[in-house]
Amino acid sequence: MIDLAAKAFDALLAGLILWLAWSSLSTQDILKGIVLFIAFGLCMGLAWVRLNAPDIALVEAAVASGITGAMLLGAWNKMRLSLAKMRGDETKLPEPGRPWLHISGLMAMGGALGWAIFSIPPENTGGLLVPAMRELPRSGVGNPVTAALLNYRAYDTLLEIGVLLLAVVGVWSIAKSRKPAQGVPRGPILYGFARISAPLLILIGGYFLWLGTSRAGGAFQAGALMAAVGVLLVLTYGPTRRVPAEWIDRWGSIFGLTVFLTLGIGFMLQGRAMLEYSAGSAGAWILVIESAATVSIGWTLLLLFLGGRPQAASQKGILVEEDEVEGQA
Amino acid sequence: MSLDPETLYALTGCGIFLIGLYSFSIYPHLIRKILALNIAGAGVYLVLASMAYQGKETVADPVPHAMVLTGIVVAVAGTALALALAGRISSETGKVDLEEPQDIEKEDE
Repeated sequence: MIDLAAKAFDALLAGLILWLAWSSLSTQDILKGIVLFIAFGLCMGLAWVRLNAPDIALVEAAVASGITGAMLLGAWNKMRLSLAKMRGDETKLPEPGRPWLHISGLMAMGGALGWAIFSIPPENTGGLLVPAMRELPRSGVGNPVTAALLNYRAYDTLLEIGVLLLAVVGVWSIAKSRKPAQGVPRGPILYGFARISAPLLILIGGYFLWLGTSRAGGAFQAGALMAAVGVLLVLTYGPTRRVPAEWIDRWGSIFGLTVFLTLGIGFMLQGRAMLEYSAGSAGAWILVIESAATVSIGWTLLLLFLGGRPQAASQKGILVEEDEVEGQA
Repeated sequence: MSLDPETLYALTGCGIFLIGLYSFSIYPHLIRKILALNIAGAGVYLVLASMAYQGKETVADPVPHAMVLTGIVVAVAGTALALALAGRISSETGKVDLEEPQDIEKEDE
């Protein structure tokens, strides 16, 4: 009976995910599409739980749905305002017809993918589960996903933090973050909510960081929560009051990578491979790296949400762009 | 025949991937394209995590999970960069797509 209910739930959830994906993309209204995308992310979170992947569920809810959704909404609004100012094209474009060549190509691809899935041998060999669990006691942490992220495949995580930093460099070079819309009333409820929830979110983030050593959680979940705190504060108080100086942004976003690289090079100087922890102390090093990474991931995601180089910086800098002069006049 | 949960979710992943790819290729609006790529990516992650599933009672294979986590974070970084580029394009050209404006050719003549 319970088995049947679980099957019905899976079928319903799979149908809902497909329907949300389709309606999020087929609607003409971009705002509606983004909101449906956020709902899609939350349903994906449920699917991750069904697939025994609580780590991915947390990251999906916080990063893929939350932060990405906030970035999309911000970018859409920015684009809309700049088009209104330029009296440019309407944001709505004519709907294309049904290109049958695309559809038949995709049908063929879907058939091939489905066939590939059904042709996977039914006896499950377990992939890398057996070696991953065998080495777990030596890895220094109790959660196999954290062990894979920061011990077995620590290079991946190092480069991933590098990719986040590169994205900030790219975003800063092509855009600057806009001043918040003037005259938008912010009620007392928002201030009260931010005041209560920001410290609480930081506390939960720290808890997730600690929890990652033994259960679902870790630097990415914690970092995403820190970024959420930043997003909430920026939306409440505006980005101008956020950070007094640009150097804090710079150091905040490179801190994790610096610690990670320094430790890696330190291990090499001791005669081991890069990121090969010394026996017995792996757990402590992983916690150090994760704590530093949490700060940087949070900071980087917040800078990515702002979608450009903060304005206070460019006012002091060499470049004063036209737009800004116009805005001050 | 009844479907295992992993097969069901893997097929759902294929479906999402195709929906994303289709929308990416036919809709010209840049934000819609970025949205479509994110949804197609979610389909890939779903297929990967379904392969890691080992049954209700056992722990799943952690290595694909770690790869999906890495993928999600890299996708966010890519999305942020793409959105910044799209914003810059629309503020330079006053358009939300990459179609060549037709009147430029006329001015050349």
